[in-house]
Amino acid sequence: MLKYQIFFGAIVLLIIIWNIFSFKRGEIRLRRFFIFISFWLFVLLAIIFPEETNKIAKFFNITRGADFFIYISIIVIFYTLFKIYEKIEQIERNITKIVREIALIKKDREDNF
Amino acid sequence: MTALNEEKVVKEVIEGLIKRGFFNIVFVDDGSTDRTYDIVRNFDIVILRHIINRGKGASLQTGTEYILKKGFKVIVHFDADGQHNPDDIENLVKPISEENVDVVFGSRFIGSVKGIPLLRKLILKGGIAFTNFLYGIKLTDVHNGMRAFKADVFRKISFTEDRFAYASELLEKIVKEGLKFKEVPVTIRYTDYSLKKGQKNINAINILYRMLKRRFFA
Repeated sequence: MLKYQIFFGAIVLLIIIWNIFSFKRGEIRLRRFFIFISFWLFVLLAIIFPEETNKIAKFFNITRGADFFIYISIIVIFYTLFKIYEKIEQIERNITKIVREIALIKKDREDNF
Repeated sequence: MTALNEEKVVKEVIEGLIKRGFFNIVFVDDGSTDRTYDIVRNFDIVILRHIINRGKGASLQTGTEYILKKGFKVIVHFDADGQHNPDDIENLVKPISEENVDVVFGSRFIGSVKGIPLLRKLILKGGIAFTNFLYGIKLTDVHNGMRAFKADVFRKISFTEDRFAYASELLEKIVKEGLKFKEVPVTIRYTDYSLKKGQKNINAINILYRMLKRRFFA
């Protein structure tokens, strides 16, 4: 096994262990846990058997497995950014609801004072 | 009426409304950090205060919820930055009582507009053409803050867009609900102050994105 495989393999293993603990503590739901673990196991396999990724890449008419991984990574990063953006929007809407409720309650109190 | 940091002009704007007999003013202070709130408190009007800034759409929704609770029949949106002319309000409200129209939009392009920079005009015109195309309507002005509504309209629709994209959201919902609307001429006066304080041209991109998102993914 090459040095880079040991180094990146160890990092991915740590991420998988961290995910398992997060799931056990109830911080992530089953569906998300399943997606995370599947993704990181796939990454781990790709690190251990890099030549196999070339076969997958060739299936998509991409020359190198490493390129295939970069493309997949870009898609995953953009998807994650999109999900974060959606989440922030939801939080913003909730903040507005709270601020509005405070404004209306304060006014109500003033009126009934 | 909603405002964010309008200490320089808000007194004059409210006085202008009161002088013309418009006493039922609901003022939403959208988290101003200047003296806006202290100035407005001196008037005998309803003041609602957002503890932090949430945007024009969010403020209008707050004001609307208060108005609906109090049972008013007609709502007029009026900017606090001095761009609008209180003399236009009567014409704006007339079609609601006389023609049973649900919503009346003020239009600066069939009315008059003073001091508008060329770039702002081009962006507005482009936005109008695009909005008309997207919703299948024919309006001459779509991002004009001066409008009148039958209050009951807001029992069917509400603002979920907190910031300036609320205007296109409003239009979209009015079209979806099949509400009767009309345009009347109004005067908009751009000043160095209002241009500095108001919407930035770059905001058009955000509004465009949100319009497309709502239209095709909501």
